[in-house]
Amino acid sequence: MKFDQIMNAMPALLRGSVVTIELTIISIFFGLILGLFLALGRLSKNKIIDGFCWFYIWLFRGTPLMMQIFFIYFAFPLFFDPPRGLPDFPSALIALSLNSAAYLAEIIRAAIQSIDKGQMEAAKALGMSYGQAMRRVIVPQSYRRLIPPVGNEFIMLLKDSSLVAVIGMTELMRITSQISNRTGNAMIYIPAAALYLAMTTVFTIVFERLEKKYSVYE
Amino acid sequence: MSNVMIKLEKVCKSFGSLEVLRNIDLEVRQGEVLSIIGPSGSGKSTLLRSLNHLERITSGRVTIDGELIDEKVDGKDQLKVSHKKVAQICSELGMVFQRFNLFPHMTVLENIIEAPMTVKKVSKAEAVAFAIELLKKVGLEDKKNEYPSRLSGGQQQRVAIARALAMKPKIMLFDEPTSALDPELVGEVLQVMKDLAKEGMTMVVVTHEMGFAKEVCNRVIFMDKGEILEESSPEEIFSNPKHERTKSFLQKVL
Ligand SMILES: Nc1ncnc2c1ncn2[C@@H]1O[C@H](COP(=O)(O)OP(=O)(O)OP(=O)(O)O)[C@@H](O)[C@H]1O
Ligand SMILES: [Mg+2]
Repeated sequence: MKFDQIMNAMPALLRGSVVTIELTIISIFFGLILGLFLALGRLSKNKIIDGFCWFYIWLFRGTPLMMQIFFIYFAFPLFFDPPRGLPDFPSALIALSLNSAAYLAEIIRAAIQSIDKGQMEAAKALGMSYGQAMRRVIVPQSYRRLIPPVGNEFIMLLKDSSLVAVIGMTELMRITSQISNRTGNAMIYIPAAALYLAMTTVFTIVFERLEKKYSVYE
Repeated sequence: MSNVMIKLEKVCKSFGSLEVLRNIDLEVRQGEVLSIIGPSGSGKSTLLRSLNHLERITSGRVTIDGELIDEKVDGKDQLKVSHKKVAQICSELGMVFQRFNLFPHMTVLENIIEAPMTVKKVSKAEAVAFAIELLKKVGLEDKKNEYPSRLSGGQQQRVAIARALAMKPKIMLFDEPTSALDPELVGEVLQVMKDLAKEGMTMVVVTHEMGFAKEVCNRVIFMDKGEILEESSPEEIFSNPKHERTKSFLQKVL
């Protein structure tokens, strides 16, 4: 492959990378919020809430992400009469957020459960309610322990976001395969792989920094 | 006669089939310092923890400062007071744990102002002012911006005492507050507790520090297998234990 061919493809590849990053960051953001509620639900004494959250996690971890993407983009609209679909970007976001929430919920639950039981007791002995103790004492302590596994999940999601190419999202993977098809030159996958590596490397460093920042008290 | 601050009537507690407290009757009056001694597993911690709802009893009644906070008959909850009310009464009991249980992600000052601000909605300025006062009292004013991990065990335990005092409790519960400390750090914590006792704080102290029990406590109870086996003044129990099991226990620890 000629150098100028790569250079010509570069703007498109970079645009695709931006879409990939957008998808990943927004999905992990909503995934974390939903995941926190699912984790608290799993820890709840209420059997129904616990059961519902368990079911959610079971469903989303037990089926292929690709199938979830297809479902939200193609099957979900059929519940409406007349069928009403969402555009590709929100569909991709919803699928990735819902899916990562299931994984993040288990990560968050493990982090919360790893906090010494004495912390909840001390908080309760000081008169705090369960909610206050969770919000002020337990959950903040789990942040630092969450950073490495959430970083890991982020990297996985960044790569898995390539799956939304199947519903026509022009993120890095799809743009690369389009260029490859058009030019008949599969070598374009090399700069694309380099871009994926660059992104995962940068975010790995970001998460390492975050971990350091949150370990001041240890 | 001063007020009865703690009253237990026929209190039983089981974990599954394990009976940990059997028919405990106990009264603690205002300003009294009561020490609980006894072998490991005799139910000392469980007794203390059932005073502030960290454990719920299986049967009997618990009354704190004239307010019923736990009542069970045949395992059925008889309590007719709201959760809020119970929480409020329980917050009148400060508790100090063997392993300090300071909040590691907060500085010393933040540890102390946390509960007054979140639970009692005290303003930050007021909470900080009182926290500084308490830190002076336990001799740690210069450590206010440190994280607990940077302090020695004795210092951490003194912070934990200050944190409990920040809620202005009427009763202080201590569960082996010096057992996790190096011997040379025990004295500084006991000193803070002695000062508290002198100020007239009602205290219940589970301890293996017989010296402290002798010097500071008005009354000592000896627990064994979930029962209060013997109850008397420190002089009496240490020099002239009535019960054979008390005798053999004291021989081991003294
Ligand atoms: N949450 C629990 N579930 C089951 N058993 C428990 C629980 N908490 C305590 N126990 C049991 O109850 C008994 C009394 O425990 P407790 O902690 O009150 O003893 P203790 O007198 O404080 O002993 P130590 O001096 O070792 O602290 C022990 O046999 C203990 O194993
Ligand atoms: Mg104990």
